[in-house]
Amino acid sequence: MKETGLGEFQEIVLLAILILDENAYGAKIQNEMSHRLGRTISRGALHAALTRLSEKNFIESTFGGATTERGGRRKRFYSVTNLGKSALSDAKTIRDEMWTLVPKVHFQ
Amino acid sequence: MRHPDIPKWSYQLFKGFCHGDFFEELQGDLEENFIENKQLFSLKKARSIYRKEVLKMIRPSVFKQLKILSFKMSHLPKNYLKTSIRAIKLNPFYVFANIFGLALALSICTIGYFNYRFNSSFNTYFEKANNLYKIHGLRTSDRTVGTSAIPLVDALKTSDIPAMRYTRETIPVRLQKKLFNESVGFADNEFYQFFEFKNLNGNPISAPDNNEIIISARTALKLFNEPYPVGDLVYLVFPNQNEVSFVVKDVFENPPTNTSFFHSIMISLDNYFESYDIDRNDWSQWVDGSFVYATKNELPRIEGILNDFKDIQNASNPQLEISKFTLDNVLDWPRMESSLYAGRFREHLHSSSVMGITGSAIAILLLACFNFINTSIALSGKRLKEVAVRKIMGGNRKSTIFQFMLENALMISFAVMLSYLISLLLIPSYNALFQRELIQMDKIPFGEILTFSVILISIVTILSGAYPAFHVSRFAPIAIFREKVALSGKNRLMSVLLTFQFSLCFYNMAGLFILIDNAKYQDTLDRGYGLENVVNVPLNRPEQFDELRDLISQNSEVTSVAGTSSLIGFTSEERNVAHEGVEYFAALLNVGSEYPKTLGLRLSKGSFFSNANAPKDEIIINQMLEDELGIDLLNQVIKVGDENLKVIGIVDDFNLRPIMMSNRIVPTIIKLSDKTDFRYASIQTSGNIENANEFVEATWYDLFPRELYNGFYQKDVMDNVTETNKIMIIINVFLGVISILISVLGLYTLVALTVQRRSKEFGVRKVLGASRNVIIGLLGRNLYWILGISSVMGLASAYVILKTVMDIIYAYHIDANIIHFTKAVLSVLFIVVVAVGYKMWQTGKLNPVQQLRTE
Repeated sequence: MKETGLGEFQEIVLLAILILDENAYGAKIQNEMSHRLGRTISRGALHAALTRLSEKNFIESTFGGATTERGGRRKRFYSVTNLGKSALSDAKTIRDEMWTLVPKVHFQ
Repeated sequence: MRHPDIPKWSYQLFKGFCHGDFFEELQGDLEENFIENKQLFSLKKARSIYRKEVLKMIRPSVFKQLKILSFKMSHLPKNYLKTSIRAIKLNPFYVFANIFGLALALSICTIGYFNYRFNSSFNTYFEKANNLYKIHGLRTSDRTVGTSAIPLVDALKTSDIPAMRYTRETIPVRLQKKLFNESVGFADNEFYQFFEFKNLNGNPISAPDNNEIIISARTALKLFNEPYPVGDLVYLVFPNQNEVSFVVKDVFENPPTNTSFFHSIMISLDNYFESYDIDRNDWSQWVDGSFVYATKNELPRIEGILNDFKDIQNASNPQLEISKFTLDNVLDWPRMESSLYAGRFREHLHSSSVMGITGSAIAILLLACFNFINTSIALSGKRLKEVAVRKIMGGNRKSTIFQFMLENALMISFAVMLSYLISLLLIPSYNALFQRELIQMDKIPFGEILTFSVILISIVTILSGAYPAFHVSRFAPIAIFREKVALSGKNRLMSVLLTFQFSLCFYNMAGLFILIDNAKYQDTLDRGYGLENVVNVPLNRPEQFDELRDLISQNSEVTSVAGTSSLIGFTSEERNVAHEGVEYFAALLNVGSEYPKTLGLRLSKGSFFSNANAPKDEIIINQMLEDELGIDLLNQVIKVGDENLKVIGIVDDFNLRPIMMSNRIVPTIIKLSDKTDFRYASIQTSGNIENANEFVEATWYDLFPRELYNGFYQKDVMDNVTETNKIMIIINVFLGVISILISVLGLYTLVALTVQRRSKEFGVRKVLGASRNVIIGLLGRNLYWILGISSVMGLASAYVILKTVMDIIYAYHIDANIIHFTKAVLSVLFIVVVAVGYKMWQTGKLNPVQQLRTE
């Protein structure tokens, strides 16, 4: 089995980016995650995760245009790299395999 | 640009610490969320969320890398540490002395801080303290009354105001056969609800029923010898031998000593009314304190209600009329406690002692910092070349400053740690000095100590490390290699400062020798009677004496048992004495017939009282009275008060009191007392005094099981003197060590700087034939002046100040003499020679070639 090097929080960040697709920038990712997880995620925590992910080359980012609601500041859009996608699917495969091994009785 | 609604300070903070690469993105996101939140919730909530988000941004990945840090990161940080440690290793002695001097100064700072903390956190033990107020009665022309009338609280309760009473008495507690005097707090049930004393699990204790008792953890150990004696029985002995049994309900942890209440046992206030037979509706009866629980807004209303009862209270207490009731918060109250009329609670440490110790702490710290600066500069003189090489190799000034600051911070951190250990050692003696537990280390949270240490390290590093670092790093490498760098000029200020420091050294040294001698002298001073082998037992009733004597005298080690109403060293009266028309003032002792013998008074003429039935007009006088009256008084009749009494014996002079203050020997008359006046039994033993005391105590409880044994040793008379001497010596040793360390360091620096400045001159002199001694003489010229002037100043002030102080506090003491001064001078000189002699010697024998050669 392959080591994916993907923590649970990071996995959720990657999924959120994929869900948001073209519109994946900091504030949106943060809201999407808070919404899905049902708890508030601080922008600081998200930043830490994004930094780690780009260090691992799982994501890449580009600047968008300036917008007024951000005081003229640019958005940084994130997208998942192929390496990131394969890490995600590896993680999913590992989980699915393990789920199949869990005896059904536990969930009846 | 900042959105106008975004919190300004949080924004600035974020901008300050956030890495430039991320700021645009992160601030943009935060701002977008802020606007969204503002529409979703409210402006206030959105601002609060923004502040929290900024705080949560404080993490390494967001942080701007500070320039000085980035520099450290890019070069090998280990090397800085390595160089620092090497530099410290190069001069271990001076570095250590420097650290130690600083640590001593810092430990005084630490103790000063703990002192300040004692007052500032007074009563904060009670979580509801902010809303608890004590009722005080203002008087127009006299002190405010701290106590309050008993029915006042009931009156407040009818208006639905949470109010409670508290009062404290010292009561004997009986446990099987043993009796203990305990401080018992009586309180209303509401008291427990608002003043939360914690039990051993940290939960507030609940109010006891009338037959229940709550005891402190310390008392539990003392009485029951176990930590949690819940369910056990104790008896309180109320007035008139009225014993009441109580069941232990709970154990409360002893609160910190900076808490107003200091009872060791708590019971319900109803017990107080019952056992002391007090009518709870009687406005002329008082409790120690009444409290209300209220918010600030309610205070005017409550004060209004209180003042409605003013007239009722004043009518019952015409001698204690108050003009107005006021409410004082329990956090402020300890500050005014000492000025209250009938204040019965623990009070603040007097603000002047806090200011005094804080002031001297800061002064000593500044002195130590100044020395630290000088020593750092002197030591870095050796490292100028290192600075030059660093710069040539491409290091910049910042790196040099960083290097030096790091070294200083290292040493200072070590000094702070050491100072913490020193304060731990000092705290017991410091507490003993004030005879109360001012500083309780176990009650101070570690986080607070850590914060304090970090603040101390930063302040001292900046104060004493910045100047040397900036100074030394300033020089251009070329100037250093050409040896055109002079580290400092003439140092006149330093010489003056050193003279004062050394005066302090001489003063302390001389003081130490004088005080030690004095302690020895007072310890062995003949008091005129035997102190060592006598136990005194206070009697509750005169009849107890006969019962006690009959049993005690059976013991073979007991040599004498006497009853008495006056006690040498503790109690006496005064009388006018007249003889042949001249009047004198004399002390009068009323004693049993055996007492003079038991106490070992020395007869010089005549005899002691023959027996208890000797004629009541016979007296014994001391030598001083005879000398004062001027003739042979044996068998003469003198007039004492209104009585004519016959002198049957004359004893050597003896001290009637501890030799503190102005208690010198006075003319004394010893008169036979009636058995019915006996208040003490005095027992002389030929064996071990502790065993004798135990034996007497056991006998006492056999005879009077319900009464507390309060026996004490005759030698307790010396306690005050011994204690005072000990404290003075401790303070002197401490100040002595600090002043010597700091001065010697300063002196070393002076010598080292002189050597550096004049090294070429010395080289030339040597070449031209100057001997080593000449060089040493030249080097020391400044030093001889400093030591000479300071020794005169220090010794003279030691003589004057110590004489004045000892005249005030002791009736008998030694005077400073030439031996003390010689010892002081020699010891200071010895330390100076050890510290700087080597440096001078080394300079004296240096090869001139090395000093003169330039390549």
